[in-house]
Amino acid sequence: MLEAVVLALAIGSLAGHAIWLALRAHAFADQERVAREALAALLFGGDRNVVERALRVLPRRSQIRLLVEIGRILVGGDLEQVRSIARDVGIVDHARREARSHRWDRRLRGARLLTLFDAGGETIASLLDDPNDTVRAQAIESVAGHPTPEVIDRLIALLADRANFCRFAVQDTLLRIGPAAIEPLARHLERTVGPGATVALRVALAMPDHRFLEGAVELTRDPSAECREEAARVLASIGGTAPLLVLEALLDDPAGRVRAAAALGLGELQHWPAAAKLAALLRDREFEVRRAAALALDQLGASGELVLRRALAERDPFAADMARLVLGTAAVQRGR
Amino acid sequence: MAPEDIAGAVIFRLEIGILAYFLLVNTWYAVLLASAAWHMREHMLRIRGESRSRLLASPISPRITILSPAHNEASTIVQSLGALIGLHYPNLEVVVVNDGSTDLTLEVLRERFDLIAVPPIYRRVLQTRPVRGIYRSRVHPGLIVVDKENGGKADSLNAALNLASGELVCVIDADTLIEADALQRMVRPFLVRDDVVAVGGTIRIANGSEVGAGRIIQAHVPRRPIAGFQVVEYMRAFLFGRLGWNGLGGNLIISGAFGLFRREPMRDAGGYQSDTVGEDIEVVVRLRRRSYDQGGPGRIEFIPDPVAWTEAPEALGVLGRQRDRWQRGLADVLWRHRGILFRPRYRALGLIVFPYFVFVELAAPVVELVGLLGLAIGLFVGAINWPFAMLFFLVAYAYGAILSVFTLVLEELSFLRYRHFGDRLLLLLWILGENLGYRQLTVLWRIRGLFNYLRKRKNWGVMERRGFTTPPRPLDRRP
Repeated sequence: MLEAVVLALAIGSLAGHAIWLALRAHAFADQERVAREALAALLFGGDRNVVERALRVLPRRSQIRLLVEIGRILVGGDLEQVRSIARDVGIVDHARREARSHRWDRRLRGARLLTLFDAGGETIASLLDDPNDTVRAQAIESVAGHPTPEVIDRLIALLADRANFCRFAVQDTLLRIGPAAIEPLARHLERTVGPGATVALRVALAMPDHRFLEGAVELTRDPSAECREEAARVLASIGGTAPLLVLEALLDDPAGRVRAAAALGLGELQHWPAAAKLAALLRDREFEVRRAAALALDQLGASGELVLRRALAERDPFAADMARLVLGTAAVQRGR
Repeated sequence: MAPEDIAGAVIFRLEIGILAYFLLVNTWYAVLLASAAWHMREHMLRIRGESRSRLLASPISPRITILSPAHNEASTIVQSLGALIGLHYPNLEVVVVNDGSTDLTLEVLRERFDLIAVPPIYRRVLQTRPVRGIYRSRVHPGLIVVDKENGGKADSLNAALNLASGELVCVIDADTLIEADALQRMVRPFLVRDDVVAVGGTIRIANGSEVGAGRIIQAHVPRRPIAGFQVVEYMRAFLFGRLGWNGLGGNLIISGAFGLFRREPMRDAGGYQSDTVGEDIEVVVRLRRRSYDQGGPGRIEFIPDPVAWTEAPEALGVLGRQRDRWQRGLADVLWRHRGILFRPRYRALGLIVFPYFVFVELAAPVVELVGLLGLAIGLFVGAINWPFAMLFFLVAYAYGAILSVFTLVLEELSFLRYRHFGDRLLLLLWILGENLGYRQLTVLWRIRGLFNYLRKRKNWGVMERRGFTTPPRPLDRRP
C-alpha cells in the first residue's frame, strides 16, 4: 500500500511538473513572443520603449531569460543597449539584491547577472572576499571588464587563494586584462616565493614581457623545482640576451624538469655557445632532458646539427639514439 | 518432521533471507538516490547561468589529449574525427590509434587529413604491440595518428597514452557522439580539486533521437522496448547510481565510452590491462587503490551533465552478449582486486564501495534467480502463501520501479533533455514495463556471464551496431 502511494506520488509529481511547465509556457507564450520580436526589432532600429513595455508585463524570470538569451550573442553597441534595458526594467537592481543574499546560490546568480549586464561595480568587488569558492570565482571573472589598479592588486593577491578554481579564474582574468596587469604582476614576482609564485609565473608565461625578467631570474633560485621550471620557461619566453647566462646555469639544476626547460629555452633562443653543454645533456639520466637537449641542438642550426651528428658515434647508446631520432625528425621536416 | 516439511521450512527461510537482501539493497538504493538528489541540486546551482565558454574554455585550461582507438573504421573515421576536432575546447590534441586495421582506415586518414610521417621521439612508458608509424596532420596540427599492429582496445589506448602530451587524457570510443561542450563540462572537477584523477559524465542512449553532423539534435525516447528499457537502465545507472556514489565513497566505474583522466597517474599505474574484458573498471579500481597504497590523486568524480550519446543494441542476442561480457569483466576485476574487500586501510573504498560491488552488482543476479526459483517451488509445494509472494514481488520489483521513477523526477528537475511530454510518458511506460520480463532476462545473461567467467572465457563477442547514419560495426561499452 505504502509503495503504491509513493509510486503514485512520484508519478503525480512528474505529471504535475510537466503540466506546470506547460501552463507556464502557455500563460506567457504570447507576451514572450511579443517581447522577443520587439528585442529582435530593436537590433534593426526598433523602438526601445516598445521593448521595455513588452518586458514589463512578463514575470521577472522570463525577463531575465529573454535578456540573457539575447545578451549572450551580442557585442558592442547592441549589447550596451540590452544592458541599458536590463537596468531600466529593474533586472540590475534585482541582481544586486541577489548578490547581497545570505544564500550562496542567490549571490552566485546575482553575480552572474551583474557580469552579463556589466553592472558589477562595488557589489562585485565585495564578492571577491566571498566565503563561497564559486561565487568568488564568478566575481573574479566579472572584474576583468573594469581593471582598476586596486582591482588588479586584489586579483594578484588572490593568486594564492586557497581554492584551485579561484586561482584558475584569477590567472584567466589577469590574462584577459592584459597589458594593465603586467607591471603589478612583475612587482609581485619580485617579492614572492613558493606556490603563489608558480601560479604567477604561469600568467607571465602567457603574456611575455621584459618586465618579468628580474622576478623570473630571482625565482630560478626558488626551492620548488616546479617554480624554477616555470621561471626558466618565462625567461625563455622573454628572449634577448639577458636570460641566457641564467638559463645556461640552470642546465646544471638538480631537477630534471628544470634542466629540460632550460635546454628547450636555450634552443628557442638559438644560443649556440651553449651547444657543448647541451651535448653533455644528451647523456643525461632522464629521457625528457635528453629529448629537450637534442631538440634544442636541432634548433641551433648548423652548429647544433654538427653536435648531433657527432653524438651518433657516442658510446652512450641513449645519447646516440636520441641524436638519431632528432636527426630523423629534422630530415622528415626538411622533406615536407 | 516429514522431508517435505523440512524442505518447505528451508525454502521459507531462504525466501525470508532473500527478501531481507532485497530490502537492504533497495534501501541502499534509496540512500544513493538521496545522495544523488543532493549532489544534483548543488551541481545545478553551480552551473545554471554559467558562461562556460568564458572561463572553462580559457587559453590556460589544461591541455587535453583525446585517445581514440580505431579498428577497421574506414567508413566512419572521417566523420568521427571531424566531430572530435570540432569539440569546443581551446587546448586539444587528438591521438588516433589505427589498431592493425585490415581495411583502408589508415589510407582514408592519410588522404583526408594530409598526414606526414614523424619519427617517434617519445618514451615508451607502457609496453604495447609494435608501432609501425606515427603521423601528424598538416591540416589539423593537433591530430596525431599512430599505426600499430593489432593488440586490442587496451593496447591501443596504451600506445596513445605513450604519445599523449596533454595533462589530461580523454578516453573515447570512435563512434560515441559527444556534446560539443562536453570537455568544458568534464574539465571542471580537475580545476576545482587537485586530488581528482578521473571524471565521468552521463552517457545517454541515442536510439530514436535525431542525429546530424555527429551531434544529437533532438533527444527522443526510443519506441522499441529493448532500447527503451536500456534508456531506463542508463538513466538509473548514471543519474542516481554514479552521482549518488560521489558523496558515499566515490565511484568504481568510468564508462569506457567517455572518460577524462589525469595522464601521469594513468601512466604511473601502468595504463590499461590487455588481459581483461573489464579494462575500463580495472583501471579505475587500480588508480583508486594506488592512491591509498602510494599516495597521489585518487578521487573519481562523476558529473551528471549528459555529455555523450551511444547506440544501444536492439537485438536480444547482441544485448545478451554485451551483458555477459560486462558481468565477466566485473567478476574478473573484483577478483583481481579482492585484497581491497573489508580492508580498513582503503576506507570507504574497502568498507562500502567494493563490498557493494561484490554483494550487489556481482551477486544480485544469483540471489534474484534463487529467489524466483524458491518462490515458484515454495508456492508449488505450499511452503509459501500468496500474500508472502506478493510482498516478495513488491520488495524486489516495485520498490525498484519507484526508484526508477524518482530518477525520472531527477532528470525532469535538472537537464530535461527529453523535451516532449510524450517522450517522458513513454519513458514512464518503459520504467513500469522493465520488470515484466526484461529484468529477468538480464539476470539470466549476467548469470551466464558469471558462468563463463568461471570457465575462463575471455572473448568480447561480436557486437553489431546499426549505426546512427552508418553501417554496423563491432563495438561495445558499459554504462
